Amino acid sequence: MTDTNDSAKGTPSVIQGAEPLLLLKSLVAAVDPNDQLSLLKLMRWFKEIPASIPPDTKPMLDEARLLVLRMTGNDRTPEKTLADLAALVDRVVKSVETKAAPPPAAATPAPAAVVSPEEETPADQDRLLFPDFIPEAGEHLQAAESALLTLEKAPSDPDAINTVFRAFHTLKGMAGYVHLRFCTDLAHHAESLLSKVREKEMAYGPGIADLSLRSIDVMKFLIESVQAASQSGSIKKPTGYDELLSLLKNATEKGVVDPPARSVGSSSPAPAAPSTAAAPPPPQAARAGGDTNMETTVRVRTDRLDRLVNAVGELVIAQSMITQDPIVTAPDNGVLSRKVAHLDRVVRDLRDLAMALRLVPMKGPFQKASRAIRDVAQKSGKAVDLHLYGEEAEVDRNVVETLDQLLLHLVRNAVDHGLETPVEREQAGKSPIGQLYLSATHEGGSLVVEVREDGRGMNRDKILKKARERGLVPADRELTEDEILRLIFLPGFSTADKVTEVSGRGVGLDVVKKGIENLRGQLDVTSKAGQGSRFRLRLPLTLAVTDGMLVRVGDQTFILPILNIRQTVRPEKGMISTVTGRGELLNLRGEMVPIFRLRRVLGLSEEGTEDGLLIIVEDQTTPAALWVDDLLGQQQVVTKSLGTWFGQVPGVSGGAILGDGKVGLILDPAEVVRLARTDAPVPLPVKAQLSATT
Amino acid sequence: MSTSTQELSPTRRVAGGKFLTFFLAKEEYGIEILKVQEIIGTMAITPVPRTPEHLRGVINLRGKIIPVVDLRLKLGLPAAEGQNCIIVVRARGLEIGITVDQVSEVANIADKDIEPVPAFGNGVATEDLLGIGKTGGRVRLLLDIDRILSNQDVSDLRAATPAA
Repeated sequence: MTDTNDSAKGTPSVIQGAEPLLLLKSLVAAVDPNDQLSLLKLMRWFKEIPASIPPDTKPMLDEARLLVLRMTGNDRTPEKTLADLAALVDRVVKSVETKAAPPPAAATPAPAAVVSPEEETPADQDRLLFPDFIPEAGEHLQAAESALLTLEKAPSDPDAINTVFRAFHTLKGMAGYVHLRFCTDLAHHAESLLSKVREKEMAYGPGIADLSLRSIDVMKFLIESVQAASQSGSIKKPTGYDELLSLLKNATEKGVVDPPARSVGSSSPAPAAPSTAAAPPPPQAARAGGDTNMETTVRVRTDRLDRLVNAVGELVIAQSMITQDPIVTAPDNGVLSRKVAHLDRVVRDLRDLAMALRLVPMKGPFQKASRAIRDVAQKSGKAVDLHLYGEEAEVDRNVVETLDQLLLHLVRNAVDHGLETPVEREQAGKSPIGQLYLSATHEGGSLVVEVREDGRGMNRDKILKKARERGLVPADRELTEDEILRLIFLPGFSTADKVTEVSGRGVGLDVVKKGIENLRGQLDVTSKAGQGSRFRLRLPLTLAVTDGMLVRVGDQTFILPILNIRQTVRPEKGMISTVTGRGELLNLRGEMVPIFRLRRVLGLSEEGTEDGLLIIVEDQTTPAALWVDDLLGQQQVVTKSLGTWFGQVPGVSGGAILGDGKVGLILDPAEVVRLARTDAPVPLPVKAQLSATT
Repeated sequence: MSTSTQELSPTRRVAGGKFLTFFLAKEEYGIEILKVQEIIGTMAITPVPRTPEHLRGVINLRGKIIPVVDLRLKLGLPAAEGQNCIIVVRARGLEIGITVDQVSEVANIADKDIEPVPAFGNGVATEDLLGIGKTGGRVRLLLDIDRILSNQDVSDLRAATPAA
């Protein structure tokens, strides 16, 4: 929709809402920044904006009002502000005029126009509506995707068909409203095809499933382009767009779909028979039932939510400072301390509530994973039966964003490397269909996600051989079974014999492991040859609050995330031996664990380090022991970034305000160990412990 | 850039106005008052390991963690004990604390009293100065705080980090 209608400015004022805008225009033209009276007139106009003005011009008018306000203040560049204002008002007037003009061609999609232009440029007034369009379109697509996956299992489910149909139908309307031609046309064609299925003129089968999924993919891509074009720029036609439209159109007209090449032994039943077997309930009833289950929801901007959670975090800390204040804890202050205890309970409730606001179910990530599993299975010729558990388990949305990608990686791996082909499975005496279990459960304060399959399992000999070839393990070093398994998390390790389209993208499990650690989580693997493998992720429910172990190192307090700690050990005589006089090793029930003194790693003074405690953390595959001076206890802390100015501080993942109001630094144990390993003994001059208090 | 009606001489980089002045090693410095957020007294600074020495650490400013720079060390002056004053400035859109020996006053320095910085030759870093204010027989060095607190330190920090 480029600017096709060059309607002359100042067209007759029959257009709704244009008259007051023309008045505004004349006021702006007459205004003199140095004449307070003319500015006042202008201000008055904004005070009483007539109702006839289309509401979607409001953001622009708000902006205009700000410019007027600026001129009334001591504006240094009034001329420029005035020019900006005039341009803005022009835009408003124009937008109202174009809106009132006869609806542009794209609103009514030209039927069967399969060759479309290469790109489209949205009009400014449409761009203003994109922020509403994009998330809503996303929701509809997600609903459609979810329903399509249901149809994989139950191809005759009328409810699911309806959902997909409705999603495209609504998308068509929405996209038409904001004049997005590519989206409108695609939605239109997809809708036409699905309406045939809905009317039982066509049976739902793999061909239609594929076309629908492809439509969703292309639509997603389009929505992303729309997002990219929300300020400026144009939307390019995705590759394969015309072809997809032709396919959809042909299928609709002919009433049949040429079935695509499909994986052997897919678990969905043969698509031949039309849906008579399952005796579906009448669609009307099903829909009504579905709608009553809808929960009432409100949309909230995520940055406000984040600010709320942070503010509540602050409140919790401030509260704990009061609770621990000597005045409150003094024995003769019973009344006060009871009041404080009451406040404490309220604050805790509020905290739980605030955290819950940001929790989202695992359904979203699971859906994406299911989709990926389907795609990979098809590409690699595997048959997979997917079992999902715990879709309703909830986790912080900030965690979900990263988890999504990591989970995709794991399930792709599971199908591509873990599961065998149907033939191989039968030769091994297994059912030809591979079983893949994806589950999410809450355990204590964490979320546990498991990806488990009954595939070939990992070949430890092969892993060890490869690791030795790549020099990841010294040739003479003996490893336990578990240690061998954990080699797969090392950077630069990949057991895939050939690079496949699916998994061979040069990123391995080390990336997944690192990602999980960045979320302050853990990743474990177990595997039995011939019986399959299991990846287990343990993640904190929220990143806003961390369970921290407070430790003293020198005269500073640091925080170690409890999730990263395996155990703490008070070393006794004989447990520690030195290596070449410098390195130290801890003998932990036969396991030799290298010791890293945090004082040294962090560049603090090493004087007077006699007693201490060892905190055992996992580093990549092997445990490491961090030497601290003392444990100060456990505490929930609100994690904060050190700010963009600092950027990434090696070994430090953030900071938190401690009970005494000081800042405590949160250490990233894996990073600390990495630093220690790569360090020359004392890297930086010992930092002077100056403090403004002393 | 400035379309203000006043003519500025090309060598002078700062307009007259109010400056917060403070002492560092017996020299008096000034920052444009608009850059100053607040002045805080004693506060515990948490050192951040493995950062350059002039980064004193971080403080808790009403629940927000902000970095603190030792201005003496940053300007190459000798370190001092017992500084008890942190000026929170807004530089490059970020709040940053700087430690100074002692805050002096808010001084009105007129345009005509600001001299361009003379060249000193090697050894004297003049690029951090916007000009030299002279009022009432006192000399105040007007600092370009945005430049001083550029994130050069941060990139140094990253460079110092061994590659993964």
